[in-house]
Amino acid sequence: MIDSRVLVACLEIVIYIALCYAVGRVCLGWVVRQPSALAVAGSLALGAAALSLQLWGFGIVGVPWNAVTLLLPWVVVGILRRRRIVFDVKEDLRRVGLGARSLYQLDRLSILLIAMAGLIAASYFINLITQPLTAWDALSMWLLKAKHFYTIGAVDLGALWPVHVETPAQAINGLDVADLMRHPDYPPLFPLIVASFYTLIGHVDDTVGKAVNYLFLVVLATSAYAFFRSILDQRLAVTFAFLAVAAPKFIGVFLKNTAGYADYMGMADYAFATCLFLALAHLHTSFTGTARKAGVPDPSYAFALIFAALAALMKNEGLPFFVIVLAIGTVRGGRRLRAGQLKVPAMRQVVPIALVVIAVVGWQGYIRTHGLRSDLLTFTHPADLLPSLPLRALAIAAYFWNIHIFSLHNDFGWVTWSFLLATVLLAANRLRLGGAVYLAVVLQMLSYLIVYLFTPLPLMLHLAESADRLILQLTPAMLLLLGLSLSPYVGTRRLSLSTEPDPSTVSTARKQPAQQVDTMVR
Amino acid sequence: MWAPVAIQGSRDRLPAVQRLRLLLPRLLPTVVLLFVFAWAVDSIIVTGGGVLAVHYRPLVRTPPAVNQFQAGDPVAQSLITISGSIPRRDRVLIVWDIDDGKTESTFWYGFVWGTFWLYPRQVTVSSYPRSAQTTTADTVIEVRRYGSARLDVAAGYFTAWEYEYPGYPVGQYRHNPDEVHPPVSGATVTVFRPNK
Repeated sequence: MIDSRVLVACLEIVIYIALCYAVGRVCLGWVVRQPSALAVAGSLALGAAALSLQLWGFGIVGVPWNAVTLLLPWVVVGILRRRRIVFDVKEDLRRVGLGARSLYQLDRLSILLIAMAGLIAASYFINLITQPLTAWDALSMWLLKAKHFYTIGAVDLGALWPVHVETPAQAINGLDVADLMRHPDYPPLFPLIVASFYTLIGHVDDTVGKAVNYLFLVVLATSAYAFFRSILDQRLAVTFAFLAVAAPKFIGVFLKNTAGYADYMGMADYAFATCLFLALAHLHTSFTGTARKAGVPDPSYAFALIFAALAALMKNEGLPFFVIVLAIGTVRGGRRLRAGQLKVPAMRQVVPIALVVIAVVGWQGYIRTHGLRSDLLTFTHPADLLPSLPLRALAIAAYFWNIHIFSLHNDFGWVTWSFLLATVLLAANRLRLGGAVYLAVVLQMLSYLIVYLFTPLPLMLHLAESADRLILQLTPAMLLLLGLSLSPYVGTRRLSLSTEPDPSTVSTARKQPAQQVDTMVR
Repeated sequence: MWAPVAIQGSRDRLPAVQRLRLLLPRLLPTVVLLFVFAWAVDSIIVTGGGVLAVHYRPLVRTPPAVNQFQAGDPVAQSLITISGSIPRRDRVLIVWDIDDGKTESTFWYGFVWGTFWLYPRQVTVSSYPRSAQTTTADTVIEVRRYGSARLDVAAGYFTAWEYEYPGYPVGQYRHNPDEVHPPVSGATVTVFRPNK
């Protein structure tokens, strides 16, 4: 017999995800009238972020955090915009219905993969809810902040820092170990998402709180299918969506006690990886979109910026990523300006971008004014490290060599070879498709390398404690690159491979992608 | 299904580099496609194995909070147990004096676990036993090696509870005798010295 508290916890998570969808769909409907399937798939994450930022705002103006105050504004909006919302939900249900009907046309491999993905996802769900919380970072950083924010009803670390520690070993390389253990500078979005769950259920539940990561599994799986279906045939789209769920790199996030895998339950890396994927997918769509040619402002780049900003609010690694996406958009905007093709974005797109950017800037301002800056910026002046950079680069290379980065016997190899194969294939295609995404991924990896080169922490310690998670963060992005690299060769209708990049696919991707993306199921 | 197409013409006469240039556009997508399906198969084997290795029956039959309690080591279990017995507004001093050759890591483990499970209490973590003599905290928690001497706490404190786990006796001392709550015990807590 299943324990009643397990059932209640399952119900709480399902209701939370449904609420995030409802809120996210309202936000999405406000930004764009006819969102793509990819945008709809990401609306869950948008909803979770909206609820979290709402709580942050409540904390600033002194509104108490509880389920009534959290949901009341959305209920009011729902009543005011009921016709629009009913229409949107019907549209989404129609898409799901079409998708369900297309299941009958699937080949055996796709059916097997979908069945396996369903079983694995179900197992992940049970594990996330029932397994104990033991991951070090989850305890010391993410979920501690979550229950602190929820308890005081505000995003303020004043009561938590400075920590009181009396021990001889208080510093490593001049860094306060207590801060290294807690990382007060880490962004607040993931803890706020957990805190919004606590707010809805009315109490702190550390064990169940970590299950909000399931929301991001749903987002990644659905958005992966929506995106890959727009550029690949159904079998490959299903295969990539399956990998988004079941790639062994994600085991540590959803399963425990599996030999050889670290415990990442309750940590923000998977949520960050999902935001990264969504931002990159929208970035690609913005480059191939034709909505602007039809006279409609293309919302894809706006979504790319929003998800990049959410990534920056999720983890510090998102800060360089946000700058990269912004820079790519600025360069393209500059070119269009010179060509006289630049269109002013609609106010409906500018407002949400402004909100998340204000949140990013606000958090960075908060930690700097409270002396909580990143440990990576506190020690050696970068110039002092210049003479040792070649040796440090060698040490980094040696580390990755020693963890068998190219071996397919571990999950590193699959990610590494994904990148290498996608690079070769995209290069063979002269980066005609996916160049911007590839550039963004490479620059993001470069930012990781720069951080390692200049880290004030003992290099090997830093690598040992973070490299695995960085690879986890990049795994969905590598799937994206692989899919993009194959898209010119594999049609969207059948599994066929031509000797040359299919000009119709490339041109279609350039001329009609908005329609492709809009049509999740053909 | 697709298949590599034979290259037209007399390949033998072409230089190796040129042959490679002709072959690559056909081979690469094939290799990438095979790689993707191989990754899917690997995922089925590895992740499927991980999923099958989980014992679901005890997981779903036990409340998540009890699973949480049972998962930690004795120290973590003791902190979860003690947490219910300390008023939420207390200032707590944890003296973590385990000198077993890995003091530093154990200490920081104690710091992270102690501050998390005892939240929202204001926690000070110390590895100096002498901290207990000068403290003004409402509650003092002592974690020590098995067999080592008990903590010499400042005057005015009394032993509220003491638990013994393998290797880690945990003592709780309180300043105010009126606010002693029994520990919330969901599992195997051995209270061997309740002493007011």
